[in-house]
Amino acid sequence: MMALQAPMNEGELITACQAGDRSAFRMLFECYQDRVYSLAMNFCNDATQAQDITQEVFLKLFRTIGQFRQEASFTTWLHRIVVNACLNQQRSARRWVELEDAQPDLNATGGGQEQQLERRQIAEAIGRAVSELSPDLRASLLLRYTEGCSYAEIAEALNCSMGTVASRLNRAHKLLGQKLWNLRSLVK
Amino acid sequence: MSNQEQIEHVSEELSAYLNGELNASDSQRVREHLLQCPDCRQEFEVIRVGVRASQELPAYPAPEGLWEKLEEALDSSPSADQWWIPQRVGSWPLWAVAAAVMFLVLSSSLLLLTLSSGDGQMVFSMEGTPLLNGKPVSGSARLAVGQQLSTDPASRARIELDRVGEVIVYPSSRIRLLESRPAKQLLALDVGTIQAQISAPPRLFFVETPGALAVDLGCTYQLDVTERGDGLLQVDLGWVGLVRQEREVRVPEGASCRISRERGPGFPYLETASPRFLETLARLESESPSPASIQLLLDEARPQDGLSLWYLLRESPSETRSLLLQGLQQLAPAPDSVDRRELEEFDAEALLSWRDHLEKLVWDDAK
Repeated sequence: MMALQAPMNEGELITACQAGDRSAFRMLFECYQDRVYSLAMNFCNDATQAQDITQEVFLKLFRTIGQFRQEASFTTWLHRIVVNACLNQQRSARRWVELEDAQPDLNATGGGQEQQLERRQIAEAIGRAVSELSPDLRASLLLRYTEGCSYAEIAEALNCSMGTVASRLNRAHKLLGQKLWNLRSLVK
Repeated sequence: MSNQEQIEHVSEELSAYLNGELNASDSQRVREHLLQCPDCRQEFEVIRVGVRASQELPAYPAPEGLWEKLEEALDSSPSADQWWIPQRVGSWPLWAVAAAVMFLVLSSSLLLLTLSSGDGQMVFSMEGTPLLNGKPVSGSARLAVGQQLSTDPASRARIELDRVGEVIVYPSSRIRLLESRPAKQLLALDVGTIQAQISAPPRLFFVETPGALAVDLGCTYQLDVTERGDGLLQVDLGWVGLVRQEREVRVPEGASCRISRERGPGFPYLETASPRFLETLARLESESPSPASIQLLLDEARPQDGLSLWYLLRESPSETRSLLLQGLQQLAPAPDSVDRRELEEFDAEALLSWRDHLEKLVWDDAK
């Protein structure tokens, strides 16, 4: 996986963490904090919640790293922890609203006002639309696009079949496409 | 059973198709179905917007001070003394502990160095001795972001883009790696020729040239840039977008497109068009069309040349627009689903539907 391609010395670093070396934990944290935070931030679209999730992920990681077997993929294991933390957070917050599966107005021309949106506003619109997807769809989508995972890697991280991943991504894309249809000419 | 019921639609496979997750024969099946099925094509357009929006998801850097908060939480954890005290160090001799610490410091430094230098991409010498930032590459080397790879008249190199595809750098060429991250691989082709064979999802691999940005839309293509900075794109498979500011030209399989350093992408065309057609079209990339030149093009054009005329129509001044519009409608009419009145009003959606139809004619010609 390109996004989480294991650094050459990752194995030694994990071994050191398993032996309880705090400087090694610090190093592992430095390596992965941006990825974990970015996944969480894209998942919940809220900086405070993303920080809480990041902290929870690393606490869990450090407490259970002794159970990690090195023949498995560390990044897949990390993905599972991050996704579970995000789902737990969402279960308690219940903030998402399933998007309506409405047909887009394919005759819409984009709307003058929307055409004027700045890139930042477009990014915000995308972030909002993603945060309104159901958690299962969102998890598959974010592993794909923020972590560059293949369908097989997503299936492994989410403990489901590749067919389920394909179906979730298709549904997620369709919902986003419908929601953001009026911005289509601005989404490069 | 009606014909409609016998059709196996592909709407459930469109995301996997756009994400490059289908095998070659399934991709071909989906692509051919899309050319014939307006329902699936409409679904495809919606899903494509969703895919593109997903590709714009940002990477957020973690805020400062997270480690300090985490360390505090770890120290106040009831099991802190359990997880963090080394389990076996007490039984190690002192020299082994010192060696382990030293190893950890060195390997950690190396790890940070590896991570901070960016992923880069592997380059393999295919012929002669390519140069990586002026140093000879014999065998293989890593091309890091910001570095330059050049070939002389006797050398050739291959760049392996992890999970994206590969790029052959032909003799007398110079490229630079500008970005290398999961959501974007960006090369600059300053001069020379490359051939790209890309299997990654569309809009992930980009090549910057002096005249335009080439955007991979799932394809194999060749790109040439002259010493002056002009370019030529030839698409062997799939589509390539050429973008300059707000202007985008989509070049389908089998077609070529010139790129001017000053003006950006020209009009896509088929090499099999008549010489007079090609010569006139090339001239109109830098001149305003006259009624006579439009008529000449219409006289020489085949239906599969309609795509070239569509791009010309898009940029035509009002004096020649209606002549071109009428001629193109006769040559390669828009599908029945497109409202003729909307075409005359230059409605963007109607024009794009017509373009899709014209691309199909190019595609058929390429086959």
